[in-house]
Amino acid sequence: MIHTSSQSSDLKNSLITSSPATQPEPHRRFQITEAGWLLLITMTVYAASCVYLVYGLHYYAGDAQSRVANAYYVLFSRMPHLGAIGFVWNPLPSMLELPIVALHPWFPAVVARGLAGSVVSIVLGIVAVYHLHRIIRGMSINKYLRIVLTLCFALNPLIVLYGANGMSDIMWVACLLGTYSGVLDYLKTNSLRRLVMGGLWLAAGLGMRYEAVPFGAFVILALILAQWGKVSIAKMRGSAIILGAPIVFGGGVWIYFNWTIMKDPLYFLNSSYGNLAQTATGAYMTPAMAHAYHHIIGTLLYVGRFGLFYWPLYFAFFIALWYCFGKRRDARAMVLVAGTLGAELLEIVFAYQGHLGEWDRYFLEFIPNGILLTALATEKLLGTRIRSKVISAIVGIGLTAIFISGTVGTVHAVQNPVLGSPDGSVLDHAFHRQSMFYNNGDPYFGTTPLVRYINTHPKLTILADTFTDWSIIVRAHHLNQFIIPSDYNFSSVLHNPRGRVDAILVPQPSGVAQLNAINRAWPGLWQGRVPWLHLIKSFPGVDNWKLYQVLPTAP
Amino acid sequence: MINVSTQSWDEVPSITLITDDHSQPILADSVDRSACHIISAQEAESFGVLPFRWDNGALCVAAFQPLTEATQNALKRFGQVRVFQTSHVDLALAQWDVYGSASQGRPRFGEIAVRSHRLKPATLKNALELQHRNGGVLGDLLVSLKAMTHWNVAEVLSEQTGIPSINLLEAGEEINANPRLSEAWGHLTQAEWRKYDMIPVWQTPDEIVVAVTNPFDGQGRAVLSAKSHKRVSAVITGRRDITTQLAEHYRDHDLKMSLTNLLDKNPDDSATTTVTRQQILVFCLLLALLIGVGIWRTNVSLAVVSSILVSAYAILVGHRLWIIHKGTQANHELSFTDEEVQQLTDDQLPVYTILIPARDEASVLPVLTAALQRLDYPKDRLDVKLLLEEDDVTTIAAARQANLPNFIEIVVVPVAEPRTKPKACNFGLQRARGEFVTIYDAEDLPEPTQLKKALLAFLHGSESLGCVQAKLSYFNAEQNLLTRWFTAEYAAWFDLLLPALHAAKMPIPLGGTSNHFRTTVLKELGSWDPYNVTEDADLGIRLHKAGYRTAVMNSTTYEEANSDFVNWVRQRSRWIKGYLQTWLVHMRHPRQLRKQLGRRGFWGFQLAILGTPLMFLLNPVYWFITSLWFMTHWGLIPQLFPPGIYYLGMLNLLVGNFTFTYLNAVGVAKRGDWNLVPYALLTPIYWAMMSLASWKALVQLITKPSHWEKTQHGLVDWTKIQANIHLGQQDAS
Repeated sequence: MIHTSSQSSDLKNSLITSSPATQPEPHRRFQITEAGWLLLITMTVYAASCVYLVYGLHYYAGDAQSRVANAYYVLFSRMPHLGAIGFVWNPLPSMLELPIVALHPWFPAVVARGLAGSVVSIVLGIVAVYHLHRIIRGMSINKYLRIVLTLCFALNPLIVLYGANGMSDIMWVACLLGTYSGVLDYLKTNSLRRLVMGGLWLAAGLGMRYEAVPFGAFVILALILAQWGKVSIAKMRGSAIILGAPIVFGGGVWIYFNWTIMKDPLYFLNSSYGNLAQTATGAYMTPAMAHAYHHIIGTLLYVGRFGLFYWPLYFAFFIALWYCFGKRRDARAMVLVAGTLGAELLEIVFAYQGHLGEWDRYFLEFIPNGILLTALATEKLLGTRIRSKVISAIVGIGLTAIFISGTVGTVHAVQNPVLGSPDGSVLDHAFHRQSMFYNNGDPYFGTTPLVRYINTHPKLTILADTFTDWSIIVRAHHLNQFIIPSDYNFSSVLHNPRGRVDAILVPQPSGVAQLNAINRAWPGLWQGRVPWLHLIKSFPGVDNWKLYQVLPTAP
Repeated sequence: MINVSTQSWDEVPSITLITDDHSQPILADSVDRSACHIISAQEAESFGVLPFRWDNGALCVAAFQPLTEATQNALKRFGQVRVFQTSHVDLALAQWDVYGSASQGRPRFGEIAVRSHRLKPATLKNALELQHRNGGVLGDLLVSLKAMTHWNVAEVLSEQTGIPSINLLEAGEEINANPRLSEAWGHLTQAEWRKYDMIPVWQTPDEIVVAVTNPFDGQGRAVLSAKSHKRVSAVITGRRDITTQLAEHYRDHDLKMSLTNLLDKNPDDSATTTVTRQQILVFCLLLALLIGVGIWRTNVSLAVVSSILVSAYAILVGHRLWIIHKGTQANHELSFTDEEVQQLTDDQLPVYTILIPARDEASVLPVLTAALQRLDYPKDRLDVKLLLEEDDVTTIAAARQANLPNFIEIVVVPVAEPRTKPKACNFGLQRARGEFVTIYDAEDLPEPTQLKKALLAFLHGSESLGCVQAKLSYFNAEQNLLTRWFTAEYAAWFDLLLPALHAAKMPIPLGGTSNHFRTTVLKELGSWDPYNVTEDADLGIRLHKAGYRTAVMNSTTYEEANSDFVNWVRQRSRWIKGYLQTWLVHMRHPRQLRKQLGRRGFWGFQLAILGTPLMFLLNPVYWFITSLWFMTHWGLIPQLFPPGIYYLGMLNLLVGNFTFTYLNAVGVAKRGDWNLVPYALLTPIYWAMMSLASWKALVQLITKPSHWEKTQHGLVDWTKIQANIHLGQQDAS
């Protein structure tokens, strides 16, 4: 029997009339969603805070400015090249800032005031809030509590500060939350796309901070364990590979560049500018750190104390831990517990070895982790057990109070000199509207006379190490008058300056300034003990810079 | 149109249906018994009529009184009807002669078949149940069940209707040699003869006698009578008799069509000539320019070339990234559930043609048979053409001895250059009876519901949906590392790339098999290009050029992955050569192509068809340059990469390689082959092999453009595969 096309049409009609695809779509009105409102609020608060901090308080986070400076050298130094981004700090923040730094000729403030970093941190702060809201939305928590929890994160003073100040910490938190979001979605919906996204966020996390490595390892382990007994071993292994492959690749690329360019695959670890070298100077060995040094309990107590950044974490963590084992095993609890531990593992190791800086920002992850664990604990404890509206309202108010107290607790926690170094002071200034101009914490403190001198001598070529001198270099009008470490001939000029450079700028070799390349190459130079230099001018201040003229007798 | 409406009953001509010259009344010579059977005995009796011949395009009907309006309406389905008057007695005697007595009628088909021991009663019962459930014609059903042969059916029909039968397998040569029949052949096209299952067997100045398989369907005779302006009568024969005669008669025509159809329809789309003179001229000019500038400014020219290639490579990497994004974003393939498939009742299904080109594949025939038997499609509506090369005597002999199911027709493709798969497919297509057509390789194991899913796709899709591509994967994925890589590559290709291209409305290079077409669309396009060694990819582009879409559906065909390195290089070099060939063919008129494909389609074409081989050609070049740099720090190398280009090259090397590796891993995971994910991470080694094949392809494109590198199948244990098919397993590993 041969069917004619009309018969096919009949068959088609009978099939298609039952298809829901042909139902007319309801008219859609433009509406801002719940997430939309939250992100709008976040953006407004972070952007306003940025303006207030930069233009109101004259507050500049040194590391954030330095990362912007790295991007600046890439585009505007005498020898523009991507390698100028540096091989110690993770490169992604500076890479993300590149397009904004490119606007420097028209808007110098993107570099001079570090606005490029702030823009990136605002954007990634919003991304962090988006991910956190999405994760909580996946839990069985009512809308009201979900919004409160999201706002508790978004408006936490430390999160706001880092969302506005251009530091990499909020960028890392965004990646951490993106990883959670992808992995938790995958475990819930089996969506491969979400697992891929989780893997990409994890890799991006390594681009921001090295904490991503232990965090990733723990989350991958949790992913395997969460699927244990539920799926085939091949799937457990495969999903772990898909989640982990991007970060392994990212790490490999980083090592490769360190090897090919810096001639040491672990340069980022071994560099004289790295964290290990800096902490080895003893500059960061505070009394609190001394208690943690080579003392396991002391280390755990030191690190654990930072949980006060969101105090409900302490309870929520143990509740989540309860749900990691036995028949009550919950994949989300396993991932969040593993992630919380993994995110702090590097700090624990470094604190134990005495390689940890004293900065509170190293523990910023406690805030998002605390909020997520609290959300999970809330879901687990309440579930659908409360049916009475009155009791529900009372419990809701109680929980709200607890959630908010966590955020308010952050303000109190940073008053503690150990927990709030250095941001307790920043928040104090912010809350009391006190300018930080000419404050010791201001990285530009005391640089103005030196910058002014250099700007009045634009033809003077100066050898300078950006590790310590970036705050001068980014404000000088002519970046090209500096020979800096990212220039291919820096090392050569450093050892044979005659006729190739007019002057050498050097800070007093104390603290981390001992690691300045000039101080390391020519010990005693700052003190004037090098005969082929003549002191042009001293600039008293925190770093006590001296500018020396290179004489014809120089090597 | 019925003549009685325009004339009075008295003016209606008379006819005598019965003659009594002999001892008992018999039908007059003017009555063609085969015409009588186009209506049932009940209709003839209730309407008081008897159709008695086809003449000059009209059905001649005898009646003893003016036709009622109801009768006229009922007869309208036969087109033009000419009424003759006769006496009541004459009509009744003729009806009795044709249909038997009113009380008993003539014996039914099944009764005759059982009575004549051609069929067992139990088989008849089963077949009748099947017919009740799935529809279809009883004779075809019995043949598809191998309960009867085509000739048995013809004999029973002959006995049932009293229409004489003719054995064309014996009389075939005589018929084909009969010059007087050439005029009759010319009245209808091959497609029409095939459609009506009919061939001419005798011709006089006034009459054509045709052999038919179904005497109850008079459509073919009506058309022939109308076109020839002659009387047309019929005898009965078997379907195999018809197909054999048609094959013999149209052999040369089909061969010519299989070689030149596309060339005649659209010479610019044919790869008969791979590179046109204009293209050679352009390439020569470019080469001369390059050499000239190279001599003048060596470093600059090298840097410019390097920059262009690096930039192109970066675009390709970006494209692949976009595919990961798009491919994992949502399900872009047409997905049909088992419930939807079950909603299709079998009596609604059209004839489906399956083309299976095979060469030197005798060992695969049992697997092929098992795989086709597994298809969830009424076998009486399967039109499978096993396309065997005339000089492949081993496979032909094996096929003839293999006791193949009756729905598989062995089509012997005459020897002619080029000896390519598309030529064989074109040859088979000329003989296709199906409204839809698909192509499988001999070793393919399609999922049982694939034909129905394809049908659903066409029914749900718009008229512009010209092709539905099923996914391809391998049943021997776990055989060795090569097969694992191959499977991972296919997963990325069919699960990520093709659905993403469909979603982006870009042209889809079809896979080698399991592409399902509307037959009319395929023929309209000129079918496959016999000179193109990746005729599938080429056809995908031509579909897009003609405004048709290709979709990917959620059904998989399992094939044999090439497990031997040398064999793999041969196969892969053919594919890559075909891509380059396809690109050259369609880029003969770039502006025209841009118009035909649209901007998006044009760039999609460049990325998929040129980009794929280009990447593999460039890979070893850049790997070599990078290695050379690390080994020698040769000063020329940095000059090849101006600053921006250097970073782009670095991105290509690192991000690009990772992207494609990751793409493979995600692809296999998406398919559910999680066990292949770790192996997918080793694919950079696979690319080195791809590059080897690519360079071989490039050389061969210049030296032997249409040479078909045959892939050797059967490197797996087929007995195991066959056993697994019978167990209903898809994965033979």
